[in-house]
Amino acid sequence: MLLKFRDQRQNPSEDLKGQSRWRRAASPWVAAAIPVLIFLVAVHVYSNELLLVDMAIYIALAQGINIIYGFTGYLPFGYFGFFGVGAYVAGYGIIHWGLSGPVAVLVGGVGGALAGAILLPLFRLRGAYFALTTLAAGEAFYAIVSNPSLTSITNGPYGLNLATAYSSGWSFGMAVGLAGVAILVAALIKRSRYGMTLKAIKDDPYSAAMAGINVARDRFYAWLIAAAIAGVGGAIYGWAISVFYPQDVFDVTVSVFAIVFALFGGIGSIWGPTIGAALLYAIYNVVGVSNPQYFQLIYGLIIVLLVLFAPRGLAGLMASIRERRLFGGGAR
Amino acid sequence: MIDQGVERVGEPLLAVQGLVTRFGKFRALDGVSLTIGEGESVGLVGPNGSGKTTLVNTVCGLYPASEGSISFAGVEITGKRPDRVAAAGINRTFQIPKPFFSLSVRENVEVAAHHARQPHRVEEVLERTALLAVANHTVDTLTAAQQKRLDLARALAMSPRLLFIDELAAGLSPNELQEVAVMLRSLVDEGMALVVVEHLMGFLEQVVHEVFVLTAGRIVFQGELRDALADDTVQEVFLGRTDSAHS
Repeated sequence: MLLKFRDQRQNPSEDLKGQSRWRRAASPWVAAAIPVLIFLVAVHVYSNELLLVDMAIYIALAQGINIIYGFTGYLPFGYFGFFGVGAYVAGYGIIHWGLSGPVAVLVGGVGGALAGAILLPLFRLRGAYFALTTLAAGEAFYAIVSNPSLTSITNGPYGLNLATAYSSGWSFGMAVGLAGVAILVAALIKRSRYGMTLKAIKDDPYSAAMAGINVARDRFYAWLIAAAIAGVGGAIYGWAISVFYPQDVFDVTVSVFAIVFALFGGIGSIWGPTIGAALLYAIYNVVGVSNPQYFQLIYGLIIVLLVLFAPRGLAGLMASIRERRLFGGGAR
Repeated sequence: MIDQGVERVGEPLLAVQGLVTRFGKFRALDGVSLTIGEGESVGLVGPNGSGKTTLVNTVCGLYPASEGSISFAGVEITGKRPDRVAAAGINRTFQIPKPFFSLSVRENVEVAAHHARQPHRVEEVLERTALLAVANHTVDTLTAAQQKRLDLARALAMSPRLLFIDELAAGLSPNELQEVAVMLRSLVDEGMALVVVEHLMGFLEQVVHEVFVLTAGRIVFQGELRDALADDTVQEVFLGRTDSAHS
């Protein structure tokens, strides 16, 4: 039975061979378009637009985590740092340069990417050391921005007021657009040769280097993309809530949510982080806001169940069920 | 045994001069010097911990050289990144295979062939390493011997001029050993230089014409394999004899 199973269990991409070329080419766009359409419908039937903005941003952040952690294996606990930098750069652009909201959001993305570039030396570290050092870096960004002696530049601990640039429709549209773009980018990377390169780096960086891969450069590109997504996300968030303080955007909860959402949905897959973020953020808003103690209990339970029964997240669980149906339950 | 001349003509392909690799105060390589010519096949032997794999790792850019120099085809490559070393024309297999488990067998080879700008070589390399039949399988379904061949296939996809084979024979059946020896000989016949790190002398005899014997990070013998086996110093290294002429 094992041999039979092995013979049949070929490259997962074999499953796709039965699909038409058109379906293969279209699937990243479909993966991006469906959530966007759902958001565009939802805003007409659900009155809390800001919640939808937050959910779309968290979908994008979960995909950012997917790109850097799912494809390269580097877990950035300090991901919130890019989020905060994006919010502040965009806010600075609006207040001091007179940028419009949408332009400021894009500049915020550049700010996030630049912050990512500054942290490039952290890639000398691996595993928990990398994760914790990024956390320290995120806190360092917070300490710099909230420093009272920098009030003339960042307004220190007093935060930013972007009320004059507030635009409900635009911020919602850009949040949904960001979610769509983040999903599309992750999906296109996953099925590209670059995605194959990132998987090779994740499996064994030295072996990948001997296969001719410039490990530092290719990993850096993924890091920049993930940082830019967080930067844009932070910029839209700051713009959408209009008034924020450093602790609102340099908040480790942003990292924790994005990581848990991505893990819950299934790192390395495309639909997983999208569904994980939408589902868990919805639960958070149903239970967490009114009864935070129950929310923490539910989240704790979800994490325990995830580790025990679905370490590859929802996407992995679905794949296992599909495999069992195809090859029989006793195969493994 | 292959009948190849020991004399080298022209500039060596690989020239290692006074190479020292330190880990803290420990000198894993202690002044290694050697040259390997184009199309030569040499063995690298020595007891466990003698520095064989450290030498491969240092030449391939995984470990930084503490002292000394490494040049390949006349170009200094000391301290170059592994991908630069690979692009220059040096590649290797690993003692414990290191395939990319997230990729299929074909994709493992494709990644290397793509980065070497030789995508057309994928099928040829898969066929040569007898992996074509399992090309679309995931790596975890391969046997240990197949995983070793995949390591070799990935290295070959880079079209190296010099290939380090790190204990490829370990754990293979006699038939598999014979097949691998034939394959390696054919690579040498095509002009590829080989450095075979190995403990199995019978296997080495089929593939190389000359050996370097390494112990405690130093080369203590260089010459034909049969001479190495009769050499007192080499016997002392492997058998711990103390009544040799050198004692």
